Amino acid sequence: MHFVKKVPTTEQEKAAKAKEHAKRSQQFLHVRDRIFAKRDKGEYDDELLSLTQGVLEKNADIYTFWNIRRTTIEQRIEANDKIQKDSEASDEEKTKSAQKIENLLAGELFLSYECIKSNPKSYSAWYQRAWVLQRQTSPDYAKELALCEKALQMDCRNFHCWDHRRIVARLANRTEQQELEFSNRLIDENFSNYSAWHYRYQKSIALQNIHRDAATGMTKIDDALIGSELQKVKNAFYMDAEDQSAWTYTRWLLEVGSGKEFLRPESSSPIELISASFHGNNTTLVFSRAVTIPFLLTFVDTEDTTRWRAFSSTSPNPSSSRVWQYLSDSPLRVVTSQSTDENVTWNELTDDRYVNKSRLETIYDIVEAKEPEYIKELLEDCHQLIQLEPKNKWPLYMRTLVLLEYQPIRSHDEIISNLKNLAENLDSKRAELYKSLLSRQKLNHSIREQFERLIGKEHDQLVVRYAELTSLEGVEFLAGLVGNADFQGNLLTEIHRIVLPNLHNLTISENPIERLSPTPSLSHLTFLSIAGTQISEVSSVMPFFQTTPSLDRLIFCETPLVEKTEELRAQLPGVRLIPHWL
Amino acid sequence: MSFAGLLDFARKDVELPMNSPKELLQDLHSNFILKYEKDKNGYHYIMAEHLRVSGIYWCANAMDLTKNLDRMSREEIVDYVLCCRNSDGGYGPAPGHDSHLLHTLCAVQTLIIFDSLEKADADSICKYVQRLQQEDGSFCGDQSGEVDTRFTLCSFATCHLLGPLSVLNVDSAVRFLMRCYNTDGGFGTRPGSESHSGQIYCCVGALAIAGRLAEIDRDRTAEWLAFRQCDSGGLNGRPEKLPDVCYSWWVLASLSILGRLHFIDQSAMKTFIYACQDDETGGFADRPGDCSSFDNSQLHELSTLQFGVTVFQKIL
Repeated sequence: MHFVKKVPTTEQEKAAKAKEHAKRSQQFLHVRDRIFAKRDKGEYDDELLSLTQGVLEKNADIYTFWNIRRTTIEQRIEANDKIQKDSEASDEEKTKSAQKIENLLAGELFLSYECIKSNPKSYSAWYQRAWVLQRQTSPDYAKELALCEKALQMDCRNFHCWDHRRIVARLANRTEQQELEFSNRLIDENFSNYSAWHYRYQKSIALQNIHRDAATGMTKIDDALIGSELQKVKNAFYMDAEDQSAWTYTRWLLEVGSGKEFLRPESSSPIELISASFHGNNTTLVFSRAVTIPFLLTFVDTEDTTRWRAFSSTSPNPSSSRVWQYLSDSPLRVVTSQSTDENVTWNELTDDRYVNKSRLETIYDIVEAKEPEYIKELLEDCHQLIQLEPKNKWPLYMRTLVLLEYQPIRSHDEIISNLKNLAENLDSKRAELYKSLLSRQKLNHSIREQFERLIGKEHDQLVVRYAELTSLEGVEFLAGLVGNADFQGNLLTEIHRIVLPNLHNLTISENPIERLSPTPSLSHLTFLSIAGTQISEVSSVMPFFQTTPSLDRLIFCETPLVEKTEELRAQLPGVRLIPHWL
Repeated sequence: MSFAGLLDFARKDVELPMNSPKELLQDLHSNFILKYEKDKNGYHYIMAEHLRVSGIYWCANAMDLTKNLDRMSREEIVDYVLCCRNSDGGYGPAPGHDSHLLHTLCAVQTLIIFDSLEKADADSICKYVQRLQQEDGSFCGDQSGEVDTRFTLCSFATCHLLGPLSVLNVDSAVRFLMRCYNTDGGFGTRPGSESHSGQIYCCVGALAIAGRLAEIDRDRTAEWLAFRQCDSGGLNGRPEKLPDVCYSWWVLASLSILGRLHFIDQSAMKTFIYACQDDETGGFADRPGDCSSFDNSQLHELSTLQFGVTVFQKIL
């Protein structure tokens, strides 16, 4: 039970309670049987309404009884509709009949109000209100909005009430501006109200200030609006720099116009083809976001749905992915640009590949985005808070997020040291979260250094050595360009999530890896080096080797596995095993 | 005390009592469940009729995971669940009650646990689920018309367990889920609703069943979930709320699906869950020191118990 403290009870109290319980459960069973009997006979009458009301007042969650009430009321609404259309019925009859329905609906609002008072988190009771409002001839929305406010005063985070408010605001045609002001009022009362900030961001989105950039298709919010919103949220984080509500809102403001790959539904950039390349036995397509087969068919000159293979880091057999292979010995023709329906550019892929360089530049921070004015101020505010509260993780984290967004190259060193400080000192519970951000920053840094070579035709090698990588999330955008990867000396503990399906050479030496799980995306692998890893058992790698049928060379020097060379040789007869450096 | 100090004092968290349990009290928990199961004339059993099939599933799942399933009355339970089937193909929580997706899924799961799925009519169940899908891809939980992303998970899970998911319109269902995806990385009940751990579990679970997890920013969602861990080690359901054992399940299961369980401090969280156990009666409280068996809430305790046990047996 939520918030019920354990207290000792006496024997006498226990006996009294048992007696009371026996009485109440017998009463319940009696009424329940009566309700079901009447329903089964189709007696949807006043008595049924009164019986269900009696039970629901004590327990609002018995949804079947609410269903019974709605059926009863719907029958009466239908009967009233007939009377209203009946030419023989008198006006008085009609008015009286209509009034009866309105009274009945008003009664439902009263009942559900009583239920919500004793159980403010009853799904059924809140649902009943919305149902009634949509059936009343002239619902009193002002009263309903007032009720929402009252309920939010009792518990400003009650999401049932917030959900209901959204419905009422829509039914009452409240403007976004009105609702934005409502959120203002609630935030001013209590700035630590995550729900109100959440409501606010949606209203801000809906306001006119957001527009879609015609050239890039990206949504963009006015710098002026972001600036003024930042002023508001600043008060909140200066008041309490530990409060997550204000920081979450700040982060949204920071990212709302961003071209980064956070897959926000309402502000993300349109899906673009990142690369298309032919690899002898497959055509590989890489997209900026995960896509499904029907979508990717619009990019190619085939309607065949059977020869596609998707790769993802979370599922062995995904239905949507950024990376797709079409298995065929001849290349597909691919649409690489489409300015209008008629103006389509096809790429044959026979002797060249398609690379969307500008999109890759955004993804890997090859160039820094122009910094709006308000960003300087935000960085300065964070800096001040860090001085005031050096042990508080939030200002340091927010500053780091801003730097990641706008100064990933200039402030690389500060980003790394901040993330280490967060992981090691300020917030060790989430150390791995910060390390994963650090890993991605270092990956981008390394890719930046070899970018021109990577997108050129001559090389297919990606080298990211000694870069503290904890994950290979993010390399998938290079799936069509990289055939040879070297991740020596990182902090990888596994590689089965890797999405580089055209790899033939892979070096993962000197990583803290103890086992290799099946990795369907490495089916073309011919060379693997696991030297200096902690793999010790043949059984902890064999499931992996079953997914790499083309493997012909394996380096496993300086691993405990060296002692099992003969056992391994028996399992991998066709592979050249290299247990010792030459 | 400074203003900031006062705020720290009011910060939403709990302290773990020194003498709280430090290991999983499996036997006590099994007995807690069996006692509940046997007491069919008891007040708590009767008054929670509107949740019963779900309660049965929670008990059976906890007993199954602790390898105590043979201590339950298999035939009686299976017969009872089958009696909850309605003519529309769905299952209610108890005989006489209307069908609901929540209980339909729990009925299917219970039958699977007791190896009795062949006694259910898979086809009519799937048709029942199918009829609850709306034009916009969402699902109503029952005839009432109430829409919630919880019901998308129930639908996907039910059909996935019974046969091909393709009996549903998966594309439009996923489109609806993505409308409920918030910029903080979480998911809410409906488009526009605030992010909530339980809802994230439902949406992430549904996307995983459909093989479409790649459509969300897994790092962002996992980050929001990781910030649910409080200093006490416990997990809350939303920012600035108190930690609660049941969120151990919603948050951890989601992180596990996203492949990012390491984003939180697992050992601190274990200590918190251990401390929530009632070392006299068995069962779990929401948080250390709270009561594990009180009036109408026994079913809540059973769900909490099930979550606690499942976390240990399936995730950690």
